Amino acid sequence: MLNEMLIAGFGGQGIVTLGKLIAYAGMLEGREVSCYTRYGAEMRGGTAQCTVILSSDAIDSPVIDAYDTVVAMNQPSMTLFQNKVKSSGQLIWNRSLCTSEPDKTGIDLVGVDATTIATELNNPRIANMVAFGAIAVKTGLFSVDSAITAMKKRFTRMTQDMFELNQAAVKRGYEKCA
Amino acid sequence: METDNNSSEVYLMEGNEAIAEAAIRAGCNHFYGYPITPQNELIEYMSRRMPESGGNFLQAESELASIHMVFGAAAAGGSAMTSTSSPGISLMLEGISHLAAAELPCVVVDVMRAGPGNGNIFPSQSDYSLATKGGGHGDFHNIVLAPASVQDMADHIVLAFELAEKYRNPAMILSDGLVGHLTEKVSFEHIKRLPKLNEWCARGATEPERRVVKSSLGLESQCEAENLKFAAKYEDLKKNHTQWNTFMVDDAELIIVAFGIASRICRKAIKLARQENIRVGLIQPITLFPFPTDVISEFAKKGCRFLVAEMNLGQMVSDVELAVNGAADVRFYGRSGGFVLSPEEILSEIRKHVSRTS
Repeated sequence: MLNEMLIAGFGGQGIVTLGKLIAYAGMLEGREVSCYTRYGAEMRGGTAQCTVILSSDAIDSPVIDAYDTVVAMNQPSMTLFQNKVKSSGQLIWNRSLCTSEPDKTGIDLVGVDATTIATELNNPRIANMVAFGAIAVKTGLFSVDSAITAMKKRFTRMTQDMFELNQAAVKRGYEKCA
Repeated sequence: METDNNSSEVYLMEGNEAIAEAAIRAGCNHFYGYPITPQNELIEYMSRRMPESGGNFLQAESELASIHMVFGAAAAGGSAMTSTSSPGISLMLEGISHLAAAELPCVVVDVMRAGPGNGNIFPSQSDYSLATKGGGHGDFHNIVLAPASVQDMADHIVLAFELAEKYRNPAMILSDGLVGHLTEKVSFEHIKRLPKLNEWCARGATEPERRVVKSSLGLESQCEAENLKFAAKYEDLKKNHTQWNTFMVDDAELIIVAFGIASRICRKAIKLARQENIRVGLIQPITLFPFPTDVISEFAKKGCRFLVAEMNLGQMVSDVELAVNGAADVRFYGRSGGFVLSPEEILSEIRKHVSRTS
């Protein structure tokens, strides 16, 4: 088993956080994991990208040329990285922040209104958690339970309110794509 | 620290954090540093954990101050380290040379970024020459280790402290912004607190015999004698602690030589090339000083050709050429300025240099 994934968006969307959560959820399910992040020098804005690999075997290169799954959280990422999806791979894209549809053919296109759903939950910053739920169901790499456990373990100073909000976002993303 | 896995002590951590945790577990009790990207997570982690473990943490006013605080701590018998990124290493060179002259054990971590000058914050292997050929003024060498994974970050920092202590010489971890920011599983279970003998360290007037720690090496004959003593240490180090990994070299006609993160990117390219029946393998130097000259020489004599792959413009090539000593062809491929090598570009480079077998 091997899944090579790219998560991309702008700084502040929680791209790195999401990548690490996926790696953690993968680890909970006994996978080898690597998560390679890169982001600009900007305090806010700029680009943020994260390559996450989940594998049953030891991982050689954490750097990858083409991906099984691309998660594009905004328009520039979708436009740029749809072409980096392997044939028969999948593109999960944040429809809320894209003005055009992906035009790449031969891949599985999964549009998720991540930011809209997060805004309905009164916190647009948790769009990444909506995507987390969508990734769980669309890739089948980890269960929604592992996703929630990962979130609980990684966010060590989270209040009960924030936990419930994050959990609701993960579940909404999951249900939208199930 | 809460474990990330119930069955065994496995954590999901960034390379920069793993190095800090492992250092503390191995007995590091003095950390002095000054912030710089891409190694800030290391200092941040130390600022939290070092006081918890009873050690000294201080954010210095500059890299110059950091390295000289390391000198003071090491002279007084502390297990001391600092960390920085490329421009900071330039500032520390004076202090590193004094540490080497005074034969003080210490560890310096360089999480390399692109240069020269301020360059940028993106990953690079830009300081190979600085670490292995220079590392400060004078007739000395740093011990240099090149981690390629988060587990390596933990294991190499322990080895660095061990070798620094054994040889009473600065040891450098030559990491980069990619491994520093890479998140992987890591275990610290096997790391034990290293013994510290300190029969030489300065403790004021409490010892019966007079102890002096100094970096002035005296007149010509004394200074030369000291330098010869250092040279003998490096010979012993070469003989006993040169480390490397090999991968798929047995039948290889082409061997890639790559260190640190570049070696892992090359492994993936080698596996792809093998699917095309290309006989290619890898030698990954783990110690950059001492450099694994003998193993490269051995494969050169067998008729292998070499491709050096680095995230710089060929700083390691001369070391491979010296090892090969004219017996084989040595080519180079690299990216600079913060570009990271990719498996595909290494693969297309491999294809240029080999014949196909079926």
